[in-house]
Amino acid sequence: MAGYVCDSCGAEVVTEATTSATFCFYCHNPVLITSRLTGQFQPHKIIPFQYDRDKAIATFRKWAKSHRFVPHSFYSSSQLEKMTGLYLPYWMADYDAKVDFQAQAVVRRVWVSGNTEFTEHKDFAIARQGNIEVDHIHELAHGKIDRTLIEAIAPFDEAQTTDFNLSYLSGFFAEKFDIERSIVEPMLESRARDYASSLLRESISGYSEVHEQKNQVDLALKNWFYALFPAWVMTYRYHGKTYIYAINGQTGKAYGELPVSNQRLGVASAILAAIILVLAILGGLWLW
Amino acid sequence: MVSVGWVAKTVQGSQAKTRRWLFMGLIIVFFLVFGGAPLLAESRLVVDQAGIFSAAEASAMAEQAARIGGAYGLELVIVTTDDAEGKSARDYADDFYDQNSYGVGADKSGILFLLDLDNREAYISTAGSGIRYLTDQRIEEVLDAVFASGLADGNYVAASRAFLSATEDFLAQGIPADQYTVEEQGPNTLTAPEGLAGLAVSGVSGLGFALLNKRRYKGTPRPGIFDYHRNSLVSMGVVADNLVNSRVTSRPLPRPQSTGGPRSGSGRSTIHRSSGGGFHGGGGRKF
Repeated sequence: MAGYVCDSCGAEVVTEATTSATFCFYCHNPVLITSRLTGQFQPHKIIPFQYDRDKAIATFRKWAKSHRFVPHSFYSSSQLEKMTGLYLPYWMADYDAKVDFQAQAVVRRVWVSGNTEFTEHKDFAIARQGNIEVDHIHELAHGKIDRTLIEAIAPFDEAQTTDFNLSYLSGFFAEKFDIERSIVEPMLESRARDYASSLLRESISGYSEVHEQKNQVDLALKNWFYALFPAWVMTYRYHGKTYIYAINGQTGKAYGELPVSNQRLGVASAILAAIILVLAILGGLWLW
Repeated sequence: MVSVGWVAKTVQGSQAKTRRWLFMGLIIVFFLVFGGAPLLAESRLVVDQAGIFSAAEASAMAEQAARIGGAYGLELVIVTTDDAEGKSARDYADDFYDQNSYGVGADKSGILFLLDLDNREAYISTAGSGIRYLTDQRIEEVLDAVFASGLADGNYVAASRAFLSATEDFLAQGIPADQYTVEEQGPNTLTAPEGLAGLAVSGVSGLGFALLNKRRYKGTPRPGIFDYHRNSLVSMGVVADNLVNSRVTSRPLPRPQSTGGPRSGSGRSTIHRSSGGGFHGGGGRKF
């Protein structure tokens, strides 16, 4: 926890240690904590919110309504006010892979003529040399957020990242990274290597068997970015448990856990069981 | 007085006994004179309770039935009734057969043709080897012949004769090679195991529904997969797929084995249990 002074009313704003954009509790004006947005915390790239609040609320309503056994209070308007637009910190990288690949491959064709089965074997020598560039590989740089939840609202359209500008933050919350680049970089590098190998393998097709002879991949980091991706997040407390619902702020992909009203579900299950019992008894009398 | 009365009664009783013996003796003599034993047997084969055959027709048909049945080791019986005692034609025919102990041999082989004027139904009940001779399909064909001879128009004699000749044809053809016997599904009742199974299914589905929803509400996160195709650029300097060798090998194929086809329905004999406990085949048709 740390205190900051609101620029418009002078009140002290208390935030989490990682929050970089928030609101003043008194005058509701946006507050940017610039020390958490400059220097090493200066974001390079951002995907601005494209899925606005109204759309997010509509998505949530539709989702909640399609589930009959949630408590009624779950989609009340006071609950919907808790829907928060939040920028999440990401590490993002572009890689360049120099590949040199050689393999022996076989094409087998089988046909039957009369009582004899013929098999044709064709041997090929395969070579691939060149460059594979993989961009926008990214990883969440924030440890406090439920990672499963955030991964469930991925993917983002990484091609639409733009250069960061402070004005994008106003009206939203933002968090700064708390997972260092040194932890994330090896992960991104190994993923880049996997993507390059997949792309290479995809360029070789139509063979029954491929026997690899040489597979050299020289990986080079091209660009490294600190980026912010948008998400709508809502939390709900029910019977002592916190449920989180999240919507991708760019694409609208949603995910969340729903509270279950045991009473409503219990009644429905009992009715179902009773109907099946009646059917079973009627079936026993007349059908089997 | 008491003793006198007792003597009188005894005298009366012995007189009645003598009369009964005399009567029995007369009947035995009568049958012996008229070649009684075969006649007795034949009259069993046509039982015209409805009184729709003349005596001559009945005895002619009985003779024919005895001849055919004798040749194939079973009893052919023709029964008519205008009071089915509230039973269905099938139950009446089966019970009549069982209660009058028809049938030849340990399996009581025989075929009974019932003209049930009460239910307006012609019914053929089979037992023992009769079940095997008259398959379901053959019974239908015999009934076809019976109806073709004008049963619906009251031509009962012609219908009965049609039964005899059609049955004789099939008996002459023997038991079909693909004949098989299956027991008819009995009437449905709710048994205790069924009730328990129903209860179990109901309980399991209720619980399953609850658990399934609990799980559904928990949500299944589907992590988004990074689309590396959209975010990549492949530029190859060398792309070579060179054919270096080609050869053809061959092997003789093993001969395919033929498999037997499924069982056809024409040889099926469906049987059911009559109230007497025995098995009967059969089939009938309303007229």
